[in-house]
Amino acid sequence: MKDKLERWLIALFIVGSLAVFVWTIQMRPRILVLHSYGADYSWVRDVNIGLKRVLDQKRSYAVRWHYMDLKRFPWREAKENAGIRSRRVIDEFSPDVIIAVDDDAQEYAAKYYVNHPKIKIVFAGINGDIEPYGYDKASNATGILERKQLTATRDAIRDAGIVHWPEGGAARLLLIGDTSESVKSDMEHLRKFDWKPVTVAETRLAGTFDEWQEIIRSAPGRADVIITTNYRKLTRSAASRELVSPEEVVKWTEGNSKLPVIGTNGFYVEDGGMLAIGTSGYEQGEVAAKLATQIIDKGTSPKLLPVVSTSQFVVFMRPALLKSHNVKLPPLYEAFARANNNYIE
Amino acid sequence: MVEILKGKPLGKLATGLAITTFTGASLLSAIFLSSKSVNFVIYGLLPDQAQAQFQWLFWLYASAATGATLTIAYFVLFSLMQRNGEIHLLNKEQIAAQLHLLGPIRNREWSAVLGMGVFMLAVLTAAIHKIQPPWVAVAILYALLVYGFLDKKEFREKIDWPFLVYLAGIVGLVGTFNSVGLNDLLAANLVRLGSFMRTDFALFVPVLAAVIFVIRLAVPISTTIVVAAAVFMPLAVASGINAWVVGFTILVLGEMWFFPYQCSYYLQFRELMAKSGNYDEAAFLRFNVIMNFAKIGAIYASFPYWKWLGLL
Repeated sequence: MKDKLERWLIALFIVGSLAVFVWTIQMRPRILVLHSYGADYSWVRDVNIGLKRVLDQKRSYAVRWHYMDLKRFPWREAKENAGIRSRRVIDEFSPDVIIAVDDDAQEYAAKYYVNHPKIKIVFAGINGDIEPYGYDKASNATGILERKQLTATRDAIRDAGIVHWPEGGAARLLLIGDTSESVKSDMEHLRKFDWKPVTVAETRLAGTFDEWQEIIRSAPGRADVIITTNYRKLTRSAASRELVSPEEVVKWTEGNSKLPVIGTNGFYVEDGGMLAIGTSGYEQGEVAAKLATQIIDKGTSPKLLPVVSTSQFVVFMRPALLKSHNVKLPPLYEAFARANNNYIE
Repeated sequence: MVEILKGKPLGKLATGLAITTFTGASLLSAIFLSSKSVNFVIYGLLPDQAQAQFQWLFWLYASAATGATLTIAYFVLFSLMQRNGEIHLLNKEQIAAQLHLLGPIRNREWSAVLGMGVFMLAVLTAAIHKIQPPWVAVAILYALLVYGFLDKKEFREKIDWPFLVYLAGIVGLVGTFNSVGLNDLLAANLVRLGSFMRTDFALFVPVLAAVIFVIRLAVPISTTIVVAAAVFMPLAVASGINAWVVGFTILVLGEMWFFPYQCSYYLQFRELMAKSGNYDEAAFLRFNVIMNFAKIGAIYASFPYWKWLGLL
């Protein structure tokens, strides 16, 4: 009798433990962080730092990270395959909130869950408009837009004394990038920006490294400053699918450009460039994570949370190159860059 | 069985039974994650997020087309090569006597059936309860221990601990590869091969088969798979090819063998069968050679399915 009771109690313990286990798992809010690019990309690293500032405080959350890695493999079939795999991860994990970062994650995965009854979408890093993804009419989506900090960039051109306006006339800009969708969206935004008294002389997109080199070589005389957004999709040649490494592109550019080059992303300096006034990845991640926690903890509907835009920027500097280009910035820039460990000596 | 069925020594029935026994145990070894130790090495070589995806059930889902093709190829080939005119009569009394000898199913056997049933059910419903299969397995082991279906002595002696230590070592080796950056080094030095793999995977498969065939002339199956996977899987990751597809292809191709000395478990099988010595080894080996080509065919047949799954 005692033996039988003991057996029943053990069975009760095992089944009860499993039930508690299942219940605990089911009750944990689930967040899927879906990145368009790879974990080793410096932009993604910064966004993750911002996300973790908030999500690390939420011990009860189950957070899963998925990287589509499409900066390294930007081909259409790679994007479609990554989209299929990401949607499967979403279906399997069934998150309460998807934090989708950058445009490919929206285009190939998150937009398929617009107006989903259970899954909410928080987007970040969208360079263009939200309409193509249907978020403007969605009841379950909100997020933060990624906008280049162009006022700060214009001020940096002025502060650097590259062109002393109004005496020296307005500085002429050459905007250059690769042919990726995010760069095209960025360029649209750059063209619409009121740069006065700086003027945009030319906007060029390069598909290959040869085209890039030709644009950089022929820039003097037509422009005074070059602004670059991204260059990770440059192929070795028109016939090749081999991507030229960002470090190689920047090394060549800094070594051959007669004009100072300024990046609109911090990675330009990390890749070997002189100066960058970049969108803050930390801000993108932190704001997106805060929106997600508001949705989960307070039950706020995403449609009641307005879409926000970038308000922060970060400065990246490489003093040796600034010196070689004879660019002198006020000490405040150096102090800001140093405070964020972005002063690369 | 051949004796009971009154089959002829070295006849088609005897050879067919030998083929069925051997193939039944080995044909689908790559299809199930848990069917072979070296599968866990492939699993260990997958990037973290791919490991989260390729759990037991999704591994089976992704390999289903290959498994189905291999099974169909086996049945077609078997019916073509091993059809025979021998009439076999199963004596019901003999079967009843044998069942009587075995006796009723014991509690320990019921516990094994129940454990397997619970595990399979848990794996199939993982999407609902979200418990990872290893935790379910630990719970089942715990139940077997506390109920005394598996006692301490058996736990120590019946579990193949040396094998588990070996497995942990192999999986650890993979982590060491990644930690010291050997995977990146390989990828950086084999850029062209990576590019070839990405642009022409259909041609890469026979090249890989040829490489594995050459290695297999002198190296055992598991070692060949570990070495090939350690080289090609990081390369696949660096080249934008799904690492599981490459790892799985290596598993299937690595299992190919042409000469008996190349397959340790066939040598064991032959040794066991030597006592009765009643199957035609030449016919057995011919069947095996043709099945090797069926394995390559099964990989190609899986391409559309993998494309549909977004893996290729």
